[in-house]
Amino acid sequence: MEVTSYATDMKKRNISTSGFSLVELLVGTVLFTIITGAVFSLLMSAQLRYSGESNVTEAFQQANVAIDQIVRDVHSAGYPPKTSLPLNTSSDFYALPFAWSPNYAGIPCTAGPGGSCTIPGDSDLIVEADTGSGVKWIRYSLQNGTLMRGVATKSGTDPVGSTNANLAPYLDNVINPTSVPVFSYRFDSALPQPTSPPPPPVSLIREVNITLMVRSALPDPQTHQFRTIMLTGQATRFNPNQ
Amino acid sequence: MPDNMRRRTQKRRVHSERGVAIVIAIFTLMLISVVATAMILMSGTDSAIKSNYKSAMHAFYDAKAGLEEGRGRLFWPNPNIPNPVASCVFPTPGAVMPVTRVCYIVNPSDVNPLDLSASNPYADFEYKQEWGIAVTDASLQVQQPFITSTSVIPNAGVGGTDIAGPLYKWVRITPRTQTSAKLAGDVTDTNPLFYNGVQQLASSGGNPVPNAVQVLTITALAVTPYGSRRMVQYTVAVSPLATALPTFPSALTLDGNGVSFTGPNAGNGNGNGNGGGPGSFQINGKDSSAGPSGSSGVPAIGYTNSDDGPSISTAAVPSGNYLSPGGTPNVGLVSLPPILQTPSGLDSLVQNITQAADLVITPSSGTADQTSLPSGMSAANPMVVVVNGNFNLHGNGTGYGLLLVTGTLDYDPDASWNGVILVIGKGIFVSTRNGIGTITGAVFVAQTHDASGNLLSDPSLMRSSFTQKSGSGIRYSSGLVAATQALLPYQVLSFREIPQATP
Repeated sequence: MEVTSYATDMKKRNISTSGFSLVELLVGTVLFTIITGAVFSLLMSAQLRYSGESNVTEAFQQANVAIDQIVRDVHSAGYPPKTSLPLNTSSDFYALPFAWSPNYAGIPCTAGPGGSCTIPGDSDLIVEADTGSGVKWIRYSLQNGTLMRGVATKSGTDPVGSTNANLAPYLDNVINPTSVPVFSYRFDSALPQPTSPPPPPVSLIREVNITLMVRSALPDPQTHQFRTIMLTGQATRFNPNQ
Repeated sequence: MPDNMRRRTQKRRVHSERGVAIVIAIFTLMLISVVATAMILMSGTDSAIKSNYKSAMHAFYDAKAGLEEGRGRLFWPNPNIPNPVASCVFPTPGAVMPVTRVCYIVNPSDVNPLDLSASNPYADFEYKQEWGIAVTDASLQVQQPFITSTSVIPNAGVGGTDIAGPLYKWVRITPRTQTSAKLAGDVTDTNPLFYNGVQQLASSGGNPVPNAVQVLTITALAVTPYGSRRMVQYTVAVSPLATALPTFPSALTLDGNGVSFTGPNAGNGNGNGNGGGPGSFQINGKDSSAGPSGSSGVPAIGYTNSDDGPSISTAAVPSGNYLSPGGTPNVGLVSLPPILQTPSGLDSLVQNITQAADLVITPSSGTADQTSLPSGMSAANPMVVVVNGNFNLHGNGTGYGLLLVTGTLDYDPDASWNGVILVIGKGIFVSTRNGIGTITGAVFVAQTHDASGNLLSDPSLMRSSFTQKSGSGIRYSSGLVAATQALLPYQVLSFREIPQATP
């Protein structure tokens, strides 16, 4: 082996193990910056989307839970029926399916469009049911964008006043416009059908249709707009008419 | 420089560049993994919530299906096939279910609600909540082996597998008492409750209450594979018609005050379609099911307000056309249960029958005719038909079962009917044509609504009207009345859901 040749070779080896050249570092840094920038951009976008979707999902879940609870209450509306109890038993011990206003517990008002009831109405409903601890008035009322729920033991003749004191927020950010009632009703048919049907009485409500338009609690981080979902549910009363 | 040394040098340089790529790749992969994991977690949470909701709803409807199986299997219209559920519930046909008796339908067959160990997810702890003693108490008569569900269709799936039905686990049938129902008032009363069509009534000594039927409780538990549990409960009694009218009080019953009856008279048909005289027209209260002797039966025409007696008797001539067994008036005052004495009670009866009807006809024009009757109706397959409006029963055919008309029934006596006809609503039965057809069974007419269709507010306003000018009339048959009653299943008196620890 020649001496010159050996020295040159050793120099090259030193260069190869001494690190990157400046150009290499610059190129590497630029590439790294571009790639990580893209990844972080993607991550940020996903994070914003996640945050926005979380808001919507939360609103959806809360509305879902509310509808499920309303459905369960309506299922048992009217339990126990008056027929279960001896005659002349106080009405506090049996459940009419739905309480009404005005004139509770007189002759039931008429429900639905054109009816004389304020409750049950488009945004107010009072279910009567015994769910295990005596007959309760279970009221759902939309007040200032919040669906309230209140439970009071049935006693006397003022379901509205009794439940007013117990109303508590149950679902926030409900934005149903007047044209989209929270509660609408289907009735058992009166037989035979009247020639000019008047609004049916509360006592014939068989199904409660629930529509909830719920706005997300926070605006979407990307669009800065509130997002809205609409959920519908249908609850059937299984107890017989009284 | 030798070639081998040059190659080693170049190899090291390549190694140094590869290190940068690996670092960048790993870092990128890590970031992507973080994003992907977050998205998976988010969607996983959503899926879990939706799955829980779906499972809870599934359990509810499974449990409800169990209730319906129990209710359906209590009702058994075919007397020639043994009914294991009815046999389990009642010690003997027609007997009262003792308060100590418990019947289960299980699904599948290895479910054991009597195993009250903590490891049994299907244990029946609810019984103790209602009755105060465990279902395994020695004083109880739990009928075993348990009845198995019919909801599984064996060998009907792909490859001969079974098709699973609703996933309820058991259905329990018990009598109902004030104690078990936790009703207000005397909650210590452990006697069975009975239902008279209006009210549930306490009994004493385990004896039945006259003119009332026993109230039963059906409870069902459903548990889904995801662990959702729902328990629901019915109280039931035999059909309202059977409760109210176990036997009709007369061949033709006119319910109300100020009812009107018009029968054939001279010049208004003779029953054979040729006109000329009363002829073969009869309203006959002698029970055709009791054989030709006619020793049993009911009045030909029954009315509920004594003030109506004279006018009906005057119209029901010649008296030979109105027959009843010896000792029973041809035209007489009859008493009806409370549910049949008020417009609202009768209306609830109509609604109950409507819910159980094979066919509900609501004619768009206001009037339907016999062509709307179901083609499958026959003597072997009687049906329940409700006409929500006026009905023209014309033609030459024969109908079988229960016909309920809420409007005016226009009857052409060329047609016949075997069973029961109820005209409840407008309460108008009119027949002005000639013919030789017969109504065999019983007819009941009551007005509950005014001409505008509004429910009458006062029983004193109830009128009913029966007019028939020809035909062979009405022949009472207790057998056809009973067969018609059997067409209506147990009615639901109440429903509730029993909260469970796991929704």
